[in-house]
Formats: sequence, C-alpha cells, structure tokens
Amino acid sequence: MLHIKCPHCGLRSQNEFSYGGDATVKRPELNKDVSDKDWDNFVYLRKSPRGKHLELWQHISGCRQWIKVERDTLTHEIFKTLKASEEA
Amino acid sequence: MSEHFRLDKGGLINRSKKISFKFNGKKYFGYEGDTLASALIANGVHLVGRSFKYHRPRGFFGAGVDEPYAIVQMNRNNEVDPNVRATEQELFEGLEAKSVNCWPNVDFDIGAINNFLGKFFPAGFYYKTFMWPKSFWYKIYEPIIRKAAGFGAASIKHDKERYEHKYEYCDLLITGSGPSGLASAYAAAQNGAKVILAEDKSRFGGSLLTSEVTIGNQSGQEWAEKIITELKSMPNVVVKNRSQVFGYYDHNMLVMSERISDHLPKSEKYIPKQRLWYIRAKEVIISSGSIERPLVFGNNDIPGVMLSSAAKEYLKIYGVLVGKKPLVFTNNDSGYETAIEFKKNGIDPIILDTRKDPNSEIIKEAKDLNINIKLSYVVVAAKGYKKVNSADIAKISEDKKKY
Amino acid sequence: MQKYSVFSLIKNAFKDHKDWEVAWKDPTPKTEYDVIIIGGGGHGLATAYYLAKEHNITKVAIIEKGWIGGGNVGRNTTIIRSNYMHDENGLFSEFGMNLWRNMSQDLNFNVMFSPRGIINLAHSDAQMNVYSRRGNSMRLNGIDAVLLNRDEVREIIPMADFSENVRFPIFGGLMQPSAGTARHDAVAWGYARQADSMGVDIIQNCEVTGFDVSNGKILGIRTSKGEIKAKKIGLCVAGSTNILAEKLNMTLPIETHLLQACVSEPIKPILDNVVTFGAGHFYCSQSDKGEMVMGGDLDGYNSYAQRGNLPTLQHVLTEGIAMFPFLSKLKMLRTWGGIMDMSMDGSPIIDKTHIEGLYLNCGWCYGGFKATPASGWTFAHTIAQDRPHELNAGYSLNRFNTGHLIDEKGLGTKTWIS
Repeated sequence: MLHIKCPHCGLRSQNEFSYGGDATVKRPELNKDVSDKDWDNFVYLRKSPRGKHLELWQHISGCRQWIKVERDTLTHEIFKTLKASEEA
Repeated sequence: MSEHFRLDKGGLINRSKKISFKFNGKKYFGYEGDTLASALIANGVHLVGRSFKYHRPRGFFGAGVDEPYAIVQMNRNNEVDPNVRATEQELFEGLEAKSVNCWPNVDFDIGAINNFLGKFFPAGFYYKTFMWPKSFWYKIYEPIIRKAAGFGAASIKHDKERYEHKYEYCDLLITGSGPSGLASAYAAAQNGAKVILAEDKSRFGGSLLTSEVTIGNQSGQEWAEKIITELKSMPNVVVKNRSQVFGYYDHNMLVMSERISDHLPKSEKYIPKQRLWYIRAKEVIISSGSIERPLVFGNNDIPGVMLSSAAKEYLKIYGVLVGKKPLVFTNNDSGYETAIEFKKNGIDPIILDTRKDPNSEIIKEAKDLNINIKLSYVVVAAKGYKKVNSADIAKISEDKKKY
Repeated sequence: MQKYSVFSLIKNAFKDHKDWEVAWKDPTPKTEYDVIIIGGGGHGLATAYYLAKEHNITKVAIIEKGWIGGGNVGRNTTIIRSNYMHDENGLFSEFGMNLWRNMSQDLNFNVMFSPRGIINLAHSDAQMNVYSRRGNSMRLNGIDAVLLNRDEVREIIPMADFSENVRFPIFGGLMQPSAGTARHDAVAWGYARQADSMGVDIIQNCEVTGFDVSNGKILGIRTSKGEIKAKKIGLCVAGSTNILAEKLNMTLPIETHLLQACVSEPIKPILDNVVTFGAGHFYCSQSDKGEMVMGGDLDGYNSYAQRGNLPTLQHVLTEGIAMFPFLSKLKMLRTWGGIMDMSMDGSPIIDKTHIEGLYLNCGWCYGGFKATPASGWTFAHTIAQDRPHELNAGYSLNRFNTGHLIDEKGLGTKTWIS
C-alpha cells in the first residue's frame, strides 16, 4: 500500500487518496479554435511511461485537495509530492 | 494406543496435561504443547494423506509452515476447516481431523492405481489426450477429472467465526524470534524504538529451542526466555506469537495474520478466531531463519523421509522420535546435529555425508560419540511404500561421475 | 510433427517418454522475414499461427523478450465469453467462441475448453433491466443468453448469499451457457507448437530495442540479438505497448495498469460455473485442480509492476465474500499481478498505423485471454491483406479521433476508474 505525503496533511496511506491520472496533460485554451487532434491529445492520448510519472491524486478522505505526485510506475517509489498549483 | 515414540523426558511439552484427539476416527493421546503432527508421530502414525495426482502415500516432511504433505481436514466446534497443515495445528482436547484425497481410506486408497499406471500419466499428459471425440472433453473426461480435484472439502455454510482487522505503526518490525530477531528487538527496544516482534510458532526462540548453544553463561533457551520476558515488560514493544507476517507490500506495509483461537477447541465469546494486522513499519528486519532444502533421491517422498531439521525439532521440542533407526543423509554439518541428538537419546543413527573429507568440531563430536559416519556416500533411493523401511546407498566414485 | 493422442502417449510410455520431439525449436534469428510479430504471448502466437494457416505466410518470426506465455496469457483467470451488448464486441467474440470450440482438435493440443456457463449476478431491478437488454442484444447477434430469476440462480449456485437482509440481494442473473474457461498455458503452447511446425521462428529472450523506419515505412527492428529486417511488423505486446510506442514516437489512447488475481488452496469441487458479482468487480470459478480462481479490480494507478498492492486485493475479496460467504474460510495459495493496456473506451485496437507495414494489436483491458483466437485470426488477416477484416474494423486506432467509440461498459474515457 502506497504511502503518500500530502503537501497539506503529511504522510498518509494510499486508501485516503483517489487517483487522477497524468498531471502533464494540458487542457486546450478556452475560447480558441481547438483542432480534433488537440482534443484527441487532451482527452485520450497518454504517454503512460515506465519510470517517472507525474500524476494527480486527490486526498479525498483528508483535506480533499488535488496534489501532484512524482512516482515510478515500475517500482512505485515516490520521489516528491507537490501542491496542484506547483510546477514540477 | 500408547505413545511408543515419545521419550520419557525432554521437550517443551506439558507432560502433566494429557490431551485426547481423533484422527481418521481413531482415538489417540498427546500432551499440551503438541502439534497434531508431533502427537501423531509419537503414536507411530506416519501415513496421513495421499498425493494429489498419483495418490502416493504421504507422511510428515517438515515441522512447521513449510509442510507440503501433511494436509488434513479439521473439525472444530462443529465447523469444518479444509487444508490444515498438521504440523501447524496445535493439539486441543477433542480435536478431530481426517486424511483427504483418499478413498475409501488413507491406508487403502483406490486412487493409488494412478501410481502404478504413472508411466501413462507423465507431467502434462492431459494436454496430449482427451481430444477425441470432440464433445467428450467437457461431457465425459472433464467431469471425471474434476471429481478427483481438490484436497479438503469446504463448507458452504456462513462462517460464524469472528475476525478482526487492526492497523499498527512501528519503528521496527521483526519477523522471527530466533537469536537474531530477539537480539535486534532487544537492542532496538532499549534505544526507545517502537518494536513489533512477530513469531509464527506458538513458542518464541526459533532455532534457540532446537540447537545446543550458549549465550553468555546461559543456554540458548534460557536466554530466549529471559529476553522475551523483558521485552514483554517494555511499553514500546509488542510481542506476538502465532503471528505470521505473510505479505510485504509497497512502502513498508506488511500484513500479519494472528491466530488467536485456532489452537483452542472453540473461540471465546467476543474473541476473534484470527486477527489481520496491517503494519506500516519504518524499518523491517526479516529474521525468519531458513527452511532446509531437501536432497534429491529416488522415492524421497515416502512417509518417514523428512527434513533432518524437522526430525531434530520433533525430538527437542516435543520429545518425539521420528524413528528408531534413523539414517541421516547430509551434505553439510547440520545433519550431524540431528544425529548427535538421536545418539544422546539412546538411538544409533547412521550418517551418510556426500563430502569426501569434511572437518569441523561437530564432526569430531559425532566421531567421539561413536556415530557411524560414512563419507562420500549418498542415498540412491528410499525403499518402502507406506513407510520407509530401508535405503539403497552408494559410494561416490573418485571422479564423481558415477556411484 | 508428432501427433498427440492417447496412442502416442501409450507408445511413448513404453519408451519411458524419451522419444517425444521438442514442442517448438529454439532457432537463431534469420536476417529477414516477411512478417515479424513482436510479443510471444497468446495473441502473438495465435497471429503467427493464423498467418501460416490461413494466409500461407510462413516466413514469420515471433520476437519475445522473455519466454513465450510469460505475460498475461499465463496470468489470467481463464474466462472465455462473448456476452457483449455492442455489435462490434459481440460478433468479434462469438467468432472467437467458434474458434475456441474447435481449438483442441485444430491445434492437436488439449486446451481444455470447458463451456460451463458464466452467470453475471444482478442485485437490483434496474440491473435486471440492463441485463435483459444486453441479453436481447446478444440473442440478436446469435449468442446464447438466458435471463435467470432469483430461484433459478439459487438452483445453480446455492452457496451464494441468498439470506435475508443481505446488503447485495441477488435478484437474478444473466447467463451465457456456452461461455466457460480454458487452460491458459495450453493455449500458448498449442499455438506455439503448431506455428513452429509450419515454419514460424519462435525467438525467445530477444528484446526489441528499436525500429528502423524510413520515409514512413517500416524496414525492420533492432534487437538484443541483432538487426532483423521485415516487410511487415505486428505489435502484440499488451501491457508493454506504451514502451514500444515510445520507441516509435507514437502516443496511444492507452494507459498501463495493474490487475491482480489469486487462487485458493484446492478444495473439492463446489462451483461448476463462472460467476461474476454485480455490485462490484469480482469474478470466480473453480479450476479442474480444485482451486478457486478469483480476480477483480485494477489497482487504480498507472503501473508496470507485475505485482499487486494490498487495498485492491482486500477490496476484491471483500466483494467475493459478500457474494460467496464460504470463501472466508479458505486460504489463499497464490496472488499475482499482470499489466494491462487500458484503452480509453475499454475496447481493443487491431489496426494499421500511420507507418506503412506496422500493425497494432493492443488495448485489451481485462479481456485479452478470451479474445486470443479471434484476435490472432483478425490480426493475421489485417497484416496479410493490409486492411482490417470486417470483424475488427470497429477496433480502429482513429475511432477516438472520429468519435466512434465502443464504450461497452459506459465508463467513458476512464475505464481504470471503475
């Protein structure tokens, strides 16, 4: 069971969190023309690397904040955690 | 029935409390502190089951969690418990168990015909046949094969027992209470660390209970008792026996199953049968010791062929002889320890050692005790069917190419 | 090739089984092939077999990083079914059912296909309605489906929880009687043996390190055993698709996730069907050895670790005990994990790519094992004819771009959240 350090609450068990997927995906800007390809990239396409992965988690049974976690997808080692607003 | 294979003294069992139990409908006696396995061996019972496919006779191979053979069906408090290892089940008054995978009984098992036809049932034979005619696989062949499946029978009743879950955090989790586990727990606890010490068996001490060692001026067993008593009195230490750590998950999350009532005739009111611990440890020491590896020779699965460490454990902890004419086949010094224990209890063992010219203190001790040692010898095959009765042995040739 | 039968078994028994031929060879790679299939799992082996059998293309190599059958074909819960609502999935899977029914004879290898029936349990009236709709769709596509009421379910699986005041009462179920299980490793070995006998080179312990692409055309691969040229290359590496896609500078509508399964110690036969829980993700069957074979949910985050974590396993088994209370007394014998390609609509991809001569077979989510023959058959067709067969036309790569999703489970893009 993962042990995730919430930047707001400290070290907590995985079952307090809910996963939110790849944190590097950028939503196309509002009020601008968006091509099908851009939508495709945003909605469906994922790198899903083996190794370092920056991902979103929500501390759903805690402070309910979204956070960023940099984790190894092969070893599950967590390198760092950030507030959602912080850049990796 | 009397206990022909129980020594008059020795062992850690409570000889003042006799316990009666039933195996395959027959009544036997053992003592408090026995396992089902040790009590059966004390009564001279070695045939306890049949193998899965060839229905070969099965006895006891180990003395604990590593037991691959002695798997029995248990009845406890009007509930059935399938696939219980006889080597792990502690004896309680009125225990009932029976052999599985045999019909009509373990002594005379019709399925053993597979053993004699084994030539026609090599590994994976079912991939190569049962293909014609097409519909026969799931209409005829598979239902017959399915009937032969499984060991114990599970009850489909709702399980009325109580089970608990518990979360715990510690600085140090130690699995195994042998010399290294105890020493580590003691050192860490004295420095103020929050320690959990888990022991799979009912007794603490691990190999200290079966080896002739001294620590300081105390015997290993005395030292273990002293340390455990002291650890139990420390507020920062949790000491648990009958507790098996069985999973090591990410980020030092370990799970431990504590058997609270399995050794009792029935669970007390509000007391669970088992408790599952989720332990998040900062550090973990796995000091579980090792499981002896079997040697390879013909028919090394016959009842009566067992690990030498198990034979020693039955002797030292339960005061039980696994046999009266033991042959110890070894390729290292540990077999000598077992042989010496037999010798000390008035039994003459023979040691076969694969090594040509081994030299150590324990070998010298064995020689001084006049134990019959045959160097450069191997067991080629064990003989017997339901119980081992002899062995073919041979000397390894000089170039080690043949014997 | 030596034929397997009861007669060959007896004959060889008298020779102490010393005369069996190797089931497949261990060749060194040639410098060039007509087709290279990357991935020696069930789908890759089946593809190679059908390329040889149906399209007479035998200058084929299977390149496998580890050993054949070491991935998900050796790690699944062996369920075979075609109980889908959507036409694309239903027709594709039912085509596969026909291949399953004849597979043992076709491969001369007993894959133990056992149509023991699969029951999806329903725990509410609404779920019964959904099941009746799915059952009707199945029947329209020629797939057998039976809607069972509570008593009919009880007759088949009396050990399920039919007690009063239970949290998930059983209202009934949808059964596909012709669905069932097969012996998973036999499928891999059966295909490997036949493919080998028809001239396919099975090359194990050979890792693909890169691709040679020039002017939008595939020329070959670089491997740990040297460069190999090929006219066409097919990717059959579910679980590792994103790793190879990265080497091709492709980004796919796939995330890699972790799925666990477990078996209990063997007990006497008690459950003859495959049963799935309707109020969570849990499924269970009993193997011919007596083990209860169980599986369930994804661990829930991207992972390439072929091992699971505790919360999901516990969650899944809690569901299992809610369905079959007697499971609580059994001891777990093994638990393990496999890595899945989770596509964004829960359906697979079998298609050409923008690179000429490069074909893609991936995105199998939880359901790859049952699709093994149909996937191999249609992928072989797609490679040989350079266009998809009508059975796999719906499994296109660009459906995410065009909006033609096959969202069987109605989970949208986040199938791994379910």
